Amino acid sequence: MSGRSPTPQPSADLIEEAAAWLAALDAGTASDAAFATWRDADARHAVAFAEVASTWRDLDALRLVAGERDSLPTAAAAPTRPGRRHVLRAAASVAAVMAVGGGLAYRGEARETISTRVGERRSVAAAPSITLDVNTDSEVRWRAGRPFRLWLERGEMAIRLGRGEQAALCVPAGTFRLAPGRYNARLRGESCELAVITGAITDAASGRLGAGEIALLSGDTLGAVVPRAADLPRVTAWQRDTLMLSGESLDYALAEMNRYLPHKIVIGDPALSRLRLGGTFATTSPAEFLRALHASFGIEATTGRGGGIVLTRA
Amino acid sequence: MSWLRDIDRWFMAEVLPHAAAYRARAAHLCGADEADDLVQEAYARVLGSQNHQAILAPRAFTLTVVHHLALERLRRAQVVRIELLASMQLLEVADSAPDAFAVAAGRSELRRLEQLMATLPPQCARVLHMRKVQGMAPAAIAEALSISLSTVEKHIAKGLALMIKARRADEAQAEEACPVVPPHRSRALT
Repeated sequence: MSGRSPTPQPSADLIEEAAAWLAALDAGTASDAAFATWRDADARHAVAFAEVASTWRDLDALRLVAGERDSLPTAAAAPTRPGRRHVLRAAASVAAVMAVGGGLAYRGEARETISTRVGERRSVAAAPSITLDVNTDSEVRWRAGRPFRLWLERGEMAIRLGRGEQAALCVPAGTFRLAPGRYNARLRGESCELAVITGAITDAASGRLGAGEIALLSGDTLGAVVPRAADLPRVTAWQRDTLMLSGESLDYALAEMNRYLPHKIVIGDPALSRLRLGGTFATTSPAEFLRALHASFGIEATTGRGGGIVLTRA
Repeated sequence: MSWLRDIDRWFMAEVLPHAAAYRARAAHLCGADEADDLVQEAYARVLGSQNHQAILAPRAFTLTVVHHLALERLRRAQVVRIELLASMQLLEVADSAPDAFAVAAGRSELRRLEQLMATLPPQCARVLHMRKVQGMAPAAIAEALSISLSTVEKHIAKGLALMIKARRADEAQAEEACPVVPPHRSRALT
């Protein structure tokens, strides 16, 4: 592996170069020092490597959903190559993406656990004035004490801390301190989306997220996040068993809806995935959602033998 | 992935997910031919910044960099019409940040990743599948397929590069979705 070429190159070739570095690092055949020399030689090398590493990381999601494949229906758009069929089926369950890193390291000391099946929602009073509301297909652990510690292992939860209560929330991205208030935490791939309904979240580096703000975190600091205020009703909609959409793609809508459904809805006609939807739908049953799709776009829903629902154009 | 620096993780999490938006902006300002190049240049500036923690809104920041670089290029170009430059300077740079939902949906396009994987040369797809879906170590893949470790590396590198190029092509298509300048204006640039 020789990548010490400081001469300018078209970015497509840099991608190949960066991919070669990543493959070599992954296989353990490249030295970290040689790699650092290459990366630091040109900012465009670092850009290309970040882009490659990004796709590399995204591919991890395929592995995580692969474990869920047995419970999934066969998509109508299923592939014909037998060797890969199970993978594509797994891909239908976009909703099943889970956190990748850190799981083992940070759960060791947890004491209590609550988990939910697909479509289930549970509430628990983890301490006299600490309430956890756990969304579908989720797992939460906690340990009483000072501070009260919470681990979001999978899925999504709402946290309510009464007066005088504080908590340390551990997610793969890092550990965050929650003041008394109401919060929503959801794992999205390797990232964690934290929303402050009331109260405040701080990190170890004194970054702060205030009431009404939402951040998608991939690291343990709040310093580089974009807080936004407009989405709180949508973030908390699940607690009312609803899904709120405003212009998202059908792909996204299905990923959200499928989180709640044991029998997943899949797109049978790829052209449909770019449709954009708005509205509020019940997550307890897909019927209303499917009716809206039919009324607005003429989309037909066919229930397969396994119970899965395939969408096609009429 | 221990070979990533803090700034790389930040860049991957906060900047790259909005690639389609940067490319759209670049294409509208400088034309589709130069868009990729302009975005890459902007990335290099952003990733080369000394203090990325100070960038509070990475997406808007990167869009601004794209905008400034486009302006620089246009000033150097001979054929740009004056009124176009004027209208560009008036253009609203601020960009409503997309919600986390859109970002997350864009990032977890598993179905698309699967499609891309299916279009790879068979051996590339097989090796990538064993590595990333089945989680096999590179050495174990080499043994299972009776190939050398360096061949495993080559397949992984090639497969990855092909997938990334295809994803870039997707972004080029996505730019239709968010026009900033009426199309006839941007055509005058090229």
